[in-house]
Amino acid sequence: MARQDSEADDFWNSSSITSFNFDDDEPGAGLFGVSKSGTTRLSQQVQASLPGEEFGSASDSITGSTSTTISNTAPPLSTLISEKCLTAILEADLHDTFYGNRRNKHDMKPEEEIRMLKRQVQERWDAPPVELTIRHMFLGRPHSLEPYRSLSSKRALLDAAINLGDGNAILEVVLFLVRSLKKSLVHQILASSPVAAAHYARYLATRLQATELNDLLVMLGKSREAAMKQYQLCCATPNVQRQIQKVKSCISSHFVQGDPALKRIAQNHIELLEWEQAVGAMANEDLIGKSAVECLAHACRLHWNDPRDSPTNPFSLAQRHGICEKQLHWTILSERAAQQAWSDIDSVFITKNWIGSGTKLKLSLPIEKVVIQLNSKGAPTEVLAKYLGFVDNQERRITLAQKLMCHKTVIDGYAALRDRQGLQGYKATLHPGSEHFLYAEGVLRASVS
Amino acid sequence: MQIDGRLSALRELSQLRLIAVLNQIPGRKDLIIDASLMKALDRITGISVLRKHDVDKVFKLDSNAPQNSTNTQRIYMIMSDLISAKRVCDQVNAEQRKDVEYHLIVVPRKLAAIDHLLEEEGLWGRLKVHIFQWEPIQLDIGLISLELPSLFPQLFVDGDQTLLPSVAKSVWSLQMLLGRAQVTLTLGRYAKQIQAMTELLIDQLGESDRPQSDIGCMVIVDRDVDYAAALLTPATYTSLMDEVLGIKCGVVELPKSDAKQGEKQTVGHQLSSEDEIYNQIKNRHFSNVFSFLSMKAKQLSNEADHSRKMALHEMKQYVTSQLKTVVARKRALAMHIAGCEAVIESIGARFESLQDMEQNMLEGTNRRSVQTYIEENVVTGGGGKLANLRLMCLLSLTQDGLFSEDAWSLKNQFLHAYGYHLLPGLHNLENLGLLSTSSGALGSGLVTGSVGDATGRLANKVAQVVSLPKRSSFQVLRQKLKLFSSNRDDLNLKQPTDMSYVYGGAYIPVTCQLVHQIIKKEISFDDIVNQLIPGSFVSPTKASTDFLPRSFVIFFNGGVTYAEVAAFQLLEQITGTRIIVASTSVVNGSTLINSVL
Repeated sequence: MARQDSEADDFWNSSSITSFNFDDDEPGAGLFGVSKSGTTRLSQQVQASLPGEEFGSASDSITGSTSTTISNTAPPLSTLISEKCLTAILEADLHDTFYGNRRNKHDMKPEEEIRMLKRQVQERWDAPPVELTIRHMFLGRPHSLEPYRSLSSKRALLDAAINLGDGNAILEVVLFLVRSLKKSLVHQILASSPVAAAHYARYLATRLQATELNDLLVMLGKSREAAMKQYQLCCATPNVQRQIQKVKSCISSHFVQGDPALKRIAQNHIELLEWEQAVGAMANEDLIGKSAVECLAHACRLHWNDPRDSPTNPFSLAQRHGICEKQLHWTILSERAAQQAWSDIDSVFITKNWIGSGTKLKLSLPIEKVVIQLNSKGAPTEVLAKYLGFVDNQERRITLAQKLMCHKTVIDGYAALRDRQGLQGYKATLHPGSEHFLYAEGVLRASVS
Repeated sequence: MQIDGRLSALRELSQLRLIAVLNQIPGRKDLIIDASLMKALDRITGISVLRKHDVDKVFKLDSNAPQNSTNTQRIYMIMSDLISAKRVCDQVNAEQRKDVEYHLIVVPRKLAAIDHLLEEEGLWGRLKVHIFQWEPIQLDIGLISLELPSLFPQLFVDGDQTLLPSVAKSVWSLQMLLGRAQVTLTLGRYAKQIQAMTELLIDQLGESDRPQSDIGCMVIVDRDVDYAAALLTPATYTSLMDEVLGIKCGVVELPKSDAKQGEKQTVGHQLSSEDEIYNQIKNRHFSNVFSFLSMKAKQLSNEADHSRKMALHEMKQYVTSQLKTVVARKRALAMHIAGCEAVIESIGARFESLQDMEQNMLEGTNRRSVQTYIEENVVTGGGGKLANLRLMCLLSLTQDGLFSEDAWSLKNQFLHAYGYHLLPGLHNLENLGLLSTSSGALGSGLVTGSVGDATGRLANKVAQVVSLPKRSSFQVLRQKLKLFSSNRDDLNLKQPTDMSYVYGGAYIPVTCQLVHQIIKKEISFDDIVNQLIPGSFVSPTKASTDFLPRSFVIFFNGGVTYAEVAAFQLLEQITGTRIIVASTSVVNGSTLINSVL
């Protein structure tokens, strides 16, 4: 086994990465020592030896998808389940279709029909025990709620439904109460029964009956819940102008007294939608529905030089929405780097020391992440070297610089650590005669004298 | 008869139920199916069966469906929810055709609210309503699922219990097929209701006549009993593939290498243990998958070499008997390598740091660096929306809520990055208890005592300096049930013996651990009910004392993860028991969170 394993390792490690290309293989992009390129190679080898189409083809599928289906070699049903159990299972759902559609009434024997009609007449006037009616509902058997006319019987009916826990029965009873009782009584009952209230609330929300839903939730003292539901309904409005209007009225009716933080978010939402409309039109771009940070990125791309007090200016946008410093910095970094505007990045993040000598980095993100992001946007070596200079720990700086092929930074790093051996080792990996090779030689020579 | 063989009856039972409905509508008819039902239907029946029962054409429910349908009998098949029903009503009302007879099949049950809607829309009687509930679908050996993913948000966020009777119906029919469970344990409030409904069904519709039941113990468990098992990043092959590519109804969509422009870029592959390669890797820790696949690749290429040197008669023999299986194995191999590739590409770079942070959260250590890690992920977009929410939820869950200022800054950053419209979604997570704010804010870690209590004040002063660790209720449970590896430093990932391997050693899911301890006789059913899990019940109480089940059906209400499935399958192996996992759907942390946003 061990031998097989090592062979297998050779198989896909044979050209394991010695020199590191950052674009192809991000550091740590492998999982448990398997790199992306390793799987790709193996995948190509196996694919190459396969005839034609991939992974089998469609057969009897309803969706027509080309998924491979497993063989269906089930033993005959009669060997798996008794006749009695089989019938019970297959007939479990039949009660309702049988009575509910009344289609088979004519097929009934007369005495059966008489029995059924008799029962129906009886139940019409004397309410059967509530448990029995709820059980009929649960099993999908015919039933009637009409006989439950007294308030106490209505309450008992609801209690029985909740006790069994069938949501459909609970809602059916609640809808019956809503139909047959005045609103204040319905609310009284719902206030004492959170389970019933939850079912009714979901029903109203699904049917977009916003006013009733709101009344209900406010009555139950769930004003935060009410605000959230209304807000959710507003956000689902497709037309922007109407969405803005709706969120505005939602704020005035729901967010005024509640949590001020929530109100702020809703107000920001409106402001952002208006911003998206106006600024999107300038660039002939649809910004509707974009997040605040995505809009910030847009502003960094197209409105970088707008005056500080203009609403399109990135800093002003970030301030209005209270976007945190980390998010602001990351967005500026990514967007300005994508525009290759390195001096913009310097002007935001690098400040002079108070004595005027030396520089300081004013960035609220880990420097490693910053450098890697700069590199991914194609920053030239000088820019990378400048920011690598802010990595305080020399070893970490060297490791990172190696990955990014910033040879000069690596060499200087070894020199600063007075690590001759390290430097010599590194020099050996460089192309002899290249500029950096010569630079490393120079440093080595200088350190001897 | 093995239990898995017996479960193969489920598909046929579902199919018979569907046929019974179709037979109530004699003559040729078109079938218009809600897209969300398609994948599950594919696992239940085939086009040829539908044809045999006079179904002419099958369409997806969209705005074009009415124009394309030519038969005068038309069947709509939808999930039983009001929104889908309204869509059907709108189509029927828009069409105004007197010559067409309309039918509506609702899955899984008929609803009073839909009846009301039909009446309001003037369609009562015009649309004839039928019911079709499928049995749990056998996704693979040892795993069956009802494939009702909408149950989780409906039940756990909105408190709508409409689907509970359908779950009970499945529990009942499973017991009709396999025999009545000798003992049933319920964990969670809905689980208890399901059990009560099941007993009512047994009473009203009948009981299995099998003298020897296949089910020693049935466990019904609500998803909210153990959210950690869903939120943690799993480490087995199938679970990671589900995280990255999404497995629906046991089918994974893989990128197609030779797809042309404008064509579907993926191809579906049904994961099945009949695929010999998959059977060997499905539950492996991911670190052991690729080496296995490359070894298989090598074996196959050796065989190919060998076949080239064959004599003619050998070759003939080879082509007729083996070539087909060799090609099938190569296909399977190619597909699993593609699966590995996708996983590594998507999660490889952050997998280790993710596991470190999760470990910190489970143990309640390094809270600051965890908070910073999550913030940086949100800010730099690492991992994406759902992965970041998942981390926030896990932090909240394991620490009894986020400190209020932390919660505020995380939520703000999140809304700024992904949109203000997600505010209600965050509120839903709060309602689930997954994104709560700890009441005591920063002070909650301090020793509480009355104001006059000098010792208390002194303790607080000390605590402010050294920050005395206080265990959250999650950590108390974790200790009580020993939900961690017994020797984490020496965990065998190649031939695992500890269920925690499914999370790289970090965690053992609650239900898996309870079942393990029952099997090992470390705890009794009474211990669970009386001491360990509040709100759990066992029935019948008498039979449960001293009863040592050797076969289990574990029914997850609200979804099970592939990590839990893998843990149970390991448990089966090491204890020689039989464990069938059943669920309302298969989920992972991201799908779970996405369903409530």
